Amino acid sequence: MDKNEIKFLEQLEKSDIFNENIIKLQNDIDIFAGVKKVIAVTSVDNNFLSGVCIKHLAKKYAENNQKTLVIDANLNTPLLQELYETEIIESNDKILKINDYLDVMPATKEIYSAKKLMSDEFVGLIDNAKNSYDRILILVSPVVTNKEILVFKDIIETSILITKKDDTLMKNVRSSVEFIKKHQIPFAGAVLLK
Amino acid sequence: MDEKYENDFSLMVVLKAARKQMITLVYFLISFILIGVAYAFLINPTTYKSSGSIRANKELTKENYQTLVVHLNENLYEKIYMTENTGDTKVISIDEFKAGLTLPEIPTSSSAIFEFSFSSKDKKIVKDVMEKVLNTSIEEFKTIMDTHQFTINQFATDAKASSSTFVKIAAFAAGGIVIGLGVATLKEWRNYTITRKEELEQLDINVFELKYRGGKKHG
Repeated sequence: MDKNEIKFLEQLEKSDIFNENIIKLQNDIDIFAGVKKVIAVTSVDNNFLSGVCIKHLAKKYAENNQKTLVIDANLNTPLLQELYETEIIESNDKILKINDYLDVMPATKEIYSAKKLMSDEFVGLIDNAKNSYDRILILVSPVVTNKEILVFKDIIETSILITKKDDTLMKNVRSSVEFIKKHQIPFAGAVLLK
Repeated sequence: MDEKYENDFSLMVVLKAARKQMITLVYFLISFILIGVAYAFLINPTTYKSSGSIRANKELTKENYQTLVVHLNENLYEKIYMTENTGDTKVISIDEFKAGLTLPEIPTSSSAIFEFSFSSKDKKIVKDVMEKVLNTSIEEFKTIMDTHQFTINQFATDAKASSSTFVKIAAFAAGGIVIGLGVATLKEWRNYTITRKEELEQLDINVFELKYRGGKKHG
């Protein structure tokens, strides 16, 4: 993370309105997409934005006693290990335990590869996780730069696209939404950080 | 352009583009002014024009009128510049003379007025040439149409610029601003970032606002 990203992260941590809006976002997703267990969180062109959003979404689910697993499926620019670095209370070769209700599966090539993401093994992993977790959030690489979300089309139950006011290019949003619609990827809507 | 994107073009986008892309605008403005200067002084310099007319004492038929004009077209240059009576008139080439001279248009019916004009880049000669054209034409008319009398109806006017150098340069400058604004708008449109929820809603998707500015945690 660079200085601006750390500053932005701190700004979010300190913001009451952000915390309130994260809860509102959870409710909105449930209202518009139905209560879904496997949710992909992606961004138009900024992996950091989707990373911080998924972290706070997961935190709120966990605080609400919903057992939550966060999977970092962005192998190009893994982020979750760094985001959760100071909060890990226990870890094994695959899972970082953050608290009793929140586990994180970071993206390291030792754990899984792009090929594995497309394999039955990963599908099996998600299926098994569905029995153990109330919510499974998957951090997917940005749609404009990478089309990996297509890999998860049959695994995820819905997805959200993170954008930011005065930051995300409108042309990139258009192409991302077109891609999502064209491939009929389960989609709840776009999130506008403002 | 895709119809659904057209709403993104608005006056606000153009104004925002003009402000953000000021350098692009200035670049186009200066470039077009330079092109305008080159055009006005090198490619199409200002021309000067003098005009005058001859009147017959009674109307001529279309055929007679045409006979006189054709005669002038064939003989006027020689009569003015290749006789001994040219005096100190500045001699111009026949090409320059014919290119600059506008002879009377053949009327659709009878007419008694012959309108002439002469244009040249050389301001000093146009009125003088026009005077020679009028006087020589009257002499020629008299020799081949002695049934009529011919007089000068309107003396040669002073040389007048037919187009202004300033106007030409200003036109190029205006073109530069328009094209620059177009380019700036296009650039801005391509780099346009989301500013409102409604812009996302235009894509027919649900939009969830996630506000983070404003509230601070206490303690």
